[in-house]
Amino acid sequence: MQSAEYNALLEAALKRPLTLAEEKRLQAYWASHPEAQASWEEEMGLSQLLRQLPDAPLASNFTAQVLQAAERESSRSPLFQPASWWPRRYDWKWAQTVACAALVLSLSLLLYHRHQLSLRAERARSVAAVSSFATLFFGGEIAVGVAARNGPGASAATTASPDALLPPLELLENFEAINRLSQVSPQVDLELLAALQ
Amino acid sequence: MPDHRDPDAALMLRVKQGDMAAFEELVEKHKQPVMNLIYRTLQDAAEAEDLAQNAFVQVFKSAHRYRASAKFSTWLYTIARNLCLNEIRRRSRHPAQSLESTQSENEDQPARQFEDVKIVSPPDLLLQGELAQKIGQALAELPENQRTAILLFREEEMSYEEIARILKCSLSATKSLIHRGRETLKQKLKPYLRTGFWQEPEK
Repeated sequence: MQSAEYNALLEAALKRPLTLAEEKRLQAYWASHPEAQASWEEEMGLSQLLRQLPDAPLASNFTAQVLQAAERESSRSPLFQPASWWPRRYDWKWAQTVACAALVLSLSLLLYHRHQLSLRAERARSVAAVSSFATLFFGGEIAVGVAARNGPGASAATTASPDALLPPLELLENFEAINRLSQVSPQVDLELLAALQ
Repeated sequence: MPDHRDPDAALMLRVKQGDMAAFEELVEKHKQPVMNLIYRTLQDAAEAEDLAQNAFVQVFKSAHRYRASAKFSTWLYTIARNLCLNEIRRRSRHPAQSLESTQSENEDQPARQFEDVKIVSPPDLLLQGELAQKIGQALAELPENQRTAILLFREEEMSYEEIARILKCSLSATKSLIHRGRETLKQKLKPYLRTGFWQEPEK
């Protein structure tokens, strides 16, 4: 018998009485390993002592007290109550979870919608600003260009009919003088320069 | 897979349905070994009894979560050991505070309403002389996991595999714990191991 088999026998002997066959194998092992017998007897002696260790003292009303505590627990949390039409505790829990999720989703949608509205308003303001800027600076040019194309007698207002395209009156106040500046020939300037010299 | 060979598992399934008689049967069957384990761990009979009661109440409270995939006793001893470990930690944090005082604050009903008809002597008086005290002392001096392993191993129906599950360690580690614990006990109790019988040592 190998030592592994001997250890298996020892493990078995610690839990239960050995069978006759096991006893024979053990005796054979001891015959070839006499030193193992003393160790075996010590192990058995310790097991005997542990088995005979007295039980811890226990109150006679132990079970009654446990049952009472269990009844108290049972009445506190109705785990064992029969099912009824009213939703059970975990049904409520599920409903609460769904409600919370729905609330979070609604809030998210609302915030997104508001964000989109504010973006649109901002874009509208930007377009309005650009539009007024374009009207202020380019609207005058458009009117001037149109007047130039229609000839000196034609009025700018007759060609640019929408009032929104017209530049403000303050801008048109010195229009004639500014327009004339571009029509003055360089000869006048040369004459003025010669006179000054 | 439910273990149909375990009669305790069948009882526990009845407890799940609210059967108090089945619960009473389980308590009656397991109260002494659970109490032994807790008492040998805490070395205080009153606290051990409170904790043993708590262990069974925990079982009852958790009955709806019970799955008969392992032996009921494995589950029960795991709960009992966890309560012991919590109590040991609590003691190390608050050495002067007793468990009794903390419980009475939380309980709205008196803890003891049933008459204890058995007169219980202090545990040391029940032990049989010097040898019993020596064994108790030697066990108390072991590290917690070695002591728990040896006490569970003392239970006839408890296999190495179940002890390993309760201690949350491997099979080989469990065997090693038991071996080392037994070696320590043999060293301390060497003079008493000559015969293996429960008797006073020779003077």
